[in-house]
Parts: sequence; C-alpha cells; structure tokens
Amino acid sequence: MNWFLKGTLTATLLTMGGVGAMAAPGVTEDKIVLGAVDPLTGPPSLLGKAHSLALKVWQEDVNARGGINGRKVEIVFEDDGYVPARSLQSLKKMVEVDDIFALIGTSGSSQLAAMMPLIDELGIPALNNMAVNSHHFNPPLETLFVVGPTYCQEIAAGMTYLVEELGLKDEKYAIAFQDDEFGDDVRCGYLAGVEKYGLDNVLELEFKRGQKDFSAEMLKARAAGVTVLVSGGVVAEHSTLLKEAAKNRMDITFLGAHSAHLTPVQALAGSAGDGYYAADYVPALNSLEVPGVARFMDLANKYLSESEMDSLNRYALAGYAGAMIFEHAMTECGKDLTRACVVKKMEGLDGFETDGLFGPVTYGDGVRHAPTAVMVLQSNAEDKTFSIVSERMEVE
Amino acid sequence: MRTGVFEESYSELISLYRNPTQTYWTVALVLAALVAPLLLTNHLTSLVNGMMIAAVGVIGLNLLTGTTGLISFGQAGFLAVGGYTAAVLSADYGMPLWLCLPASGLMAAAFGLIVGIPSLRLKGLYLAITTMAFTIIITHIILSAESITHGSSGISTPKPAIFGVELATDKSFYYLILAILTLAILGSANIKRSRIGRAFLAIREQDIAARVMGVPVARYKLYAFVVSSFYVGVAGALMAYHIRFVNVDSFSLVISIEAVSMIIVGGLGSTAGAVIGVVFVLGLAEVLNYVIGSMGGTLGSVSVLELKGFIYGLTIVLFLRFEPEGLMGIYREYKNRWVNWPFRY
Repeated sequence: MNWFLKGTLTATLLTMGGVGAMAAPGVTEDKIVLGAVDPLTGPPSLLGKAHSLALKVWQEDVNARGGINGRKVEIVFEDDGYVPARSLQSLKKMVEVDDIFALIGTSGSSQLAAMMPLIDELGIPALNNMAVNSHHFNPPLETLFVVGPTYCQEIAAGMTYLVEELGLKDEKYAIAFQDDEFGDDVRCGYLAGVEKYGLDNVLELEFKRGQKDFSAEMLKARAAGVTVLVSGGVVAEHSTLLKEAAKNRMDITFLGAHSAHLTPVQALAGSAGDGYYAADYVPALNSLEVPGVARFMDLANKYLSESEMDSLNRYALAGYAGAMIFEHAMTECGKDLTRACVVKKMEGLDGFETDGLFGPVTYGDGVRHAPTAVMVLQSNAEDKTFSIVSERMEVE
Repeated sequence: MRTGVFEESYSELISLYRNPTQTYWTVALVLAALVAPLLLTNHLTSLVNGMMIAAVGVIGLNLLTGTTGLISFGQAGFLAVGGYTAAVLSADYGMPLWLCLPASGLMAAAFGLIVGIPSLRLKGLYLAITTMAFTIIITHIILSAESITHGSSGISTPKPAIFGVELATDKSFYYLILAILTLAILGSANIKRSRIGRAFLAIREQDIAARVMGVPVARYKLYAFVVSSFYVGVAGALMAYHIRFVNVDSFSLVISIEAVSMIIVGGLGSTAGAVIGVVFVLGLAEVLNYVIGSMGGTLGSVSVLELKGFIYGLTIVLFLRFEPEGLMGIYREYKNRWVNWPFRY
C-alpha cells in the first residue's frame, strides 16, 4: 500500500511537473491569449483604433481558419490613452489578470519605452510595428522585435526618390522639424539626403512641438526661395505647412514621413493637400493591386462595421502585417508553443514576405530591428486616396 | 453613549485626534493598509501604488488650493520637475533613492518659490493661467535641455532600492509609498493645525482681512507654494520609480486638471478628502474600464470607448454641480444625521 501510494504520488507530481513545464502563460489546450496596448481614446486614437481593428480582423480570420495549430486566438485590448504610465499599467494588468502569452500592440514610442523593462523582465515576446525608435532595438532586448524603418531611414529613402526619380537635384531644399526626437529623426534623414546628393540646403526651421501657426516659418521659406520642403511634423503640422505654402502662393514639392500618409492630413489641408509625397513602408489602403492589401480589405469588409471601416488607415495595414509575422512564428512552433520558441522563430525570419504589406522581414542573432523597404506615395486629395509612385527602396 | 465632541481646551481643539473613535479607526486603517498587499494581486497593488503616489501630490495641491485658496494648474510642471530630478540623479549620477526623493522635493520646492512670486499679485483665474504657463515652460525646458534631460527621448530609471534592499516588485515598493503617504498626511494635518495652517485659512477666506490681522500674507503665500511643490515633487519622484521611465508625455496639462478635480470631488481643504478624491477619480476610471470591458467584450466598439469618457466626465461635472463640498461633505452630512438622530440638528 505504501509502495502504491508513493508510486502514484510520484507519477502525479511528475505529470504535473511536465504539464507545468510545457504550459506557457496564456496558452491552453484550445486558446492563445495575446495582448495589445493601443491608444483607443483621445487624439492619438487615430493610430490606435486602426491598429486594433486590424488585429480584430486578423483574430476573426485566423480563428475562422481553425486557429493556430488548433488553438483559437483571443486578443485582449487595453487603452493607454497614449500616456506612458497607463501603458505600463495596462501591460501589468494583461500579464496578471489576462495572462497574455505575447504582446502584438505596443502603442507609441515613449509608451513602449515605459513597458520595455517589464517586457524584458518577464520575457514577453513583443512586436512593435507602430512607432519605430532606435531606443527600442539599440541595445536589443531578447524578446522585443521591431519592424519598419526609422523616420531617418524613411526620409532618406524619400529624398532618394525626389532626386533620382523626380530629378529634383538642383532645387532649393528646406526642412521644418519639431523640437523633439521625432523631428530630429526626420532631420537626420533629410541631412543624409542632402549630403548624399550634395543638395542645396537653404533653410532648417525648428518649431515647437504642438505649434499651430507656421506663417512666420513659411514666409522665411518663401524669402529663401525654397522649392522642396521636408516636413518633420506629426499629423496636423503637415496640413498647416501645406496650407501656409498655398496661401503664400509657393510652388513647392512637399515630402513627409509616414505620418503624412493619413486622410486627416489631406482633409485638414483641403485643396493644398493634393500632390504631396509621403515616405512609408506600407502601401495605401486603396492599393488593391498589392495582394496583402486586397486580402486585408476583403477581410475587413467581412468582419468590420461601416463605421469601423472608416477608422482604417495605414496603421491597420502595419498591424495586420505584424500579426501575420507573429502568426507565422507561432505556427512554426507547432503544438509545443512557448515564449522561447516564438522568440527563436522570430529571430530566424529571413526575408519573410507579408504579401507586399511590408518589404521582406529579416531578424537574426542579436538583431531585433527589421528596417523594411520604403516606398513613396502621392496624395490625391480629391478622392482621399494615395497612389504608390515608387518602387520599394531598401533602406541604408 | 457619546452625544457629541466637545473641545474644552485649546489643546483639545488642535489635537490630531478629536476622540478615541478616530484613533481606533486610524489604527484599523493602518493595519488594513499594512496587510493589503498580502491580499491584493500584483495588478491591484500596482493600481493602489499609483493612487497613493497621486494622493501624495494631491495632498500638496490641497494645501495650496484647498487650504490657502490659491488655484494652481501647475501641478504637472512640479510633478515633471520632481520626476526628472529623480530620473537624472538616479540614472545618470547613480544617486540612491533615499537621496533622490528629498532632492526631487527640494528642486520642485525651489521652482514653487519662483512660481509663487507672481501669486503675491495675482488671484483666481489669472493665477491659474500663470501656473498653467509654468507647466508649458517646464515642458519646453525639458525638451531643450537635452544634455541634462535627454530631451524627448525620456529617461529610464533604475529599479528602486533603499539601503541595499531592492524594491523591484510592486508589493515591496508599496510599503515605501505607504510610509511616504503617511508622512505626507501627518505633515499636512500638522501644518493645518499649526499657526501656518491657520494663516493659510485666513488668506483663503479673505487675504486683506488676514493682512489686517497681522498675517504676513506674502510670506505665507510663498510658504504654501513651496510646501505644496515639495509634496508634488516627491510624488513625481515616486512616479518616476514606479513607471521606471519619464518623458514629457507623462506630464501633460490634463494631470493638473485631474488633480484639481480630485480635490474638488474629495472636498476642498480636507486632507482626507484629497485622498478620497484620488481614490474616487482614479477608481472610477478603473471601474468603468472593468464594467465596459465586461459588457462590450475585448475590444468593444468605438462608441463604447467614447461612452466611457462621457460617463467619466459627466460624473465629475455632476459632483461639481450638486455636491460642491465633495465626498467629505456627503460624509459629514450623513455622520451628523446618524449622531443627531432622531433630531434633525
């Protein structure tokens, strides 16, 4: 009897230990719980709503296809209101209350910075496809993967297009950039382009973050005879600069980073918002010739309401493509899904294709940033669309 | 049976505890606070930590706005000064937490002195706008002084540790915040029952009359700014250690407005009201998150998210409109009814 009891106990403990070792947080026999922190309220919800809706579409789609190795996907969303303290609080909640396996929505740049110590501490696989900043991968964290070029790389590629494709080498170049890291990053790309092609950099205008009036800046630009202007504003600043240029009857070529690739920028600029260029690493929602966009829009039409469809923008495509990368890594792990396995599979990605949504994605040992290729889009204000006007350009 | 509280001497009038019941309740509350982390989950402990940190700052604001009557929307600025002081000293200069906390308070107090000077000539809305401008100026200073503040990149702060003991978990950090909150409450209660507190009250009620009575109004207004800013600076430092990251996005003007709404909801001039106001305002946001989250599924629809903001705003507006004395006013009213029953008074 004693021998029998000991044997049974040992077997039970061994089984429990085995199960315990196998079970990763957020993974059960039939479900994988993922988390996403997004700004869903306040002005930055323009980004967060689109991103979270794309994840919702992916969740519905992947579950309709039978889930990942038989496990259904459940995404828990938390609204951080774009406040770093709330991002951290949200992640803590998702880890403890919702028991998430991984994080596929990381809000903005500072918001992710606030979450990074916890991501690193707990070894949570995370993918950032919302706001790329060199602090996110330099030095790299073992479990945090970043996809997309920095603003510096994006603008440098945009400058290449202006010079090599549009032949704007002998123009008078200027930049208007805001006095923060984002502005500095855009300026970095601008200066790289100026140096590479020996361009005539006639003016560098630094403006205060949140500035609403650019009349003085644009008068200076007019006086300097600027013909090409690179905008280092976030969203509304692009529109205001465009409107001021039109008001001053300036015939300028305008280039912005991917934040200019949004319909509100077109709408705010009115007729002045026609024809400007935006450098981006995802196509436009209307680029249905790209297989990934066509598939996403089909799924979005199927799973989203009309009002939700109106909230989609480029961040939706970035979110969906990011989810595709994660799905691939989780699928590759098979039934034995662990965080370590997903990190390893992500690390092993070499030229992974997302049906044209991103350029090929590659990570490696100690390489956690995939600066995917950039394309240039042109605004068509009348029909509120963007057209792809360049090939994808590898970033330097 | 106790029928009322009768103060028969001056010392009784200014004593910290007016009757044994208050003492018992305080002891019970302290005991509950000590065992709370053992019962709460990590997530809830983290939420409580956030509330306690906010309470330290709001108690400071209450001394300035509630007790002295000087409206300030500069709390986000003082919070930023405290947070950045702690972050720079700990991350770049390796200073220990026990030095960073008072240094942050002192730095914010120094800024409070500077901001307080205009308060000698300004009142009401004019003072509110001046203090609001302070927050905007501080944001610009932080962004411009990149060599010290790291500009818009922000600063990651090290794990909190005190005298070699690491307070990396929310539960261990809880006790440090609790100790500081207790000191903040005791400090505030002591100031209010002292000569300084009575001068603050006199200034709030009518500063000209206070001057006629011999209260050096200018000095006490500056005292109020300095003491209040010290509290908020310490709260900023705690926030920096709690989030382990600071950047200007964490110190928006909304924080100043929320802080003022907290003292109004809790009850202007009351230390307990300040703490209750924090719990109510921050707790309401969490409760709404939970209720709407459980109603609308994981993501919910866009309209549900907007509804949350609407309910949150409406609750605060209704409070301001129908219960200007705040939650402490409601508490006092029900307490009096209970004590005096069956009589009305």
